[in-house]
Amino acid sequence: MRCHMLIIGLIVFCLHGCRHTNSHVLPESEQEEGIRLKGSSASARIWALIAKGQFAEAQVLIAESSASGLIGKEMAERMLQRISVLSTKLSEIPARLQRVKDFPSQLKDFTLFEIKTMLDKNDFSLATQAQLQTARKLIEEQTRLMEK
Amino acid sequence: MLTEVHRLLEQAVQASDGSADALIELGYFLDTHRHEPTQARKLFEEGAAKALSSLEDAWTGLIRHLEMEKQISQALELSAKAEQLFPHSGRIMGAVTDARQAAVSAGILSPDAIDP
Repeated sequence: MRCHMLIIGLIVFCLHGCRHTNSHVLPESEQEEGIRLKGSSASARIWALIAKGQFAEAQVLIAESSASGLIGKEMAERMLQRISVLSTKLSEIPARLQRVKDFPSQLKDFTLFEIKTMLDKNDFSLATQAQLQTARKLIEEQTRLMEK
Repeated sequence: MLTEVHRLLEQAVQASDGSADALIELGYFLDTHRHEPTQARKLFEEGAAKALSSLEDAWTGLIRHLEMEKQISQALELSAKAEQLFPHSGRIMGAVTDARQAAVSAGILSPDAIDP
């Protein structure tokens, strides 16, 4: 119970901190707020491009936003990492995982993004929904362990 | 007896490889019984960071699960919370944007909502 209370207290603190970065220390200047808002909308645009698979465009925007200080280096790295995860092919997961029963080998040359797109559009011409979901989870689990 | 409790709590931290609960328990012990608030603070901070990391991991999986089970409105609800708490997490933002993409495909969100 105490653990819960502390965590909740810290979460509330973090939420407060996220929305009012420096307001309890120094008042944010208009210019700073402008940059922060532009930065968060640059961020949102980049995530949207990544979600749509427009990786080349996203990478350009990441480089520009990072160079102009709109997004931090760490955030840029995470975005690039996400692009890399989405570009991972099913064939790139460890061989032993590919030997399981019912492994959807017809999807081997497809990337996580392509597999998710098929699921999203209910395109079951190459594989069943269950096979697509398995493929997606296998790639995501592999990359999750790498990101930890 | 306190020495024994202290030893057990330290052991728990070792055995659990620094799990959030073990760190926090040791923090409270040091704060309350050993009057070591500085050390306690470090343990609370580390415990909180570990707990947040577990939460990040769990929520990423949960958002994805809700999206894949087509429970889109629940996925969106959790996405809003997760985005607020973890705006710098690549994994959370990945899951959140996927959930919103799925919501657009399902006709629940308009494309403008995700394309600023």
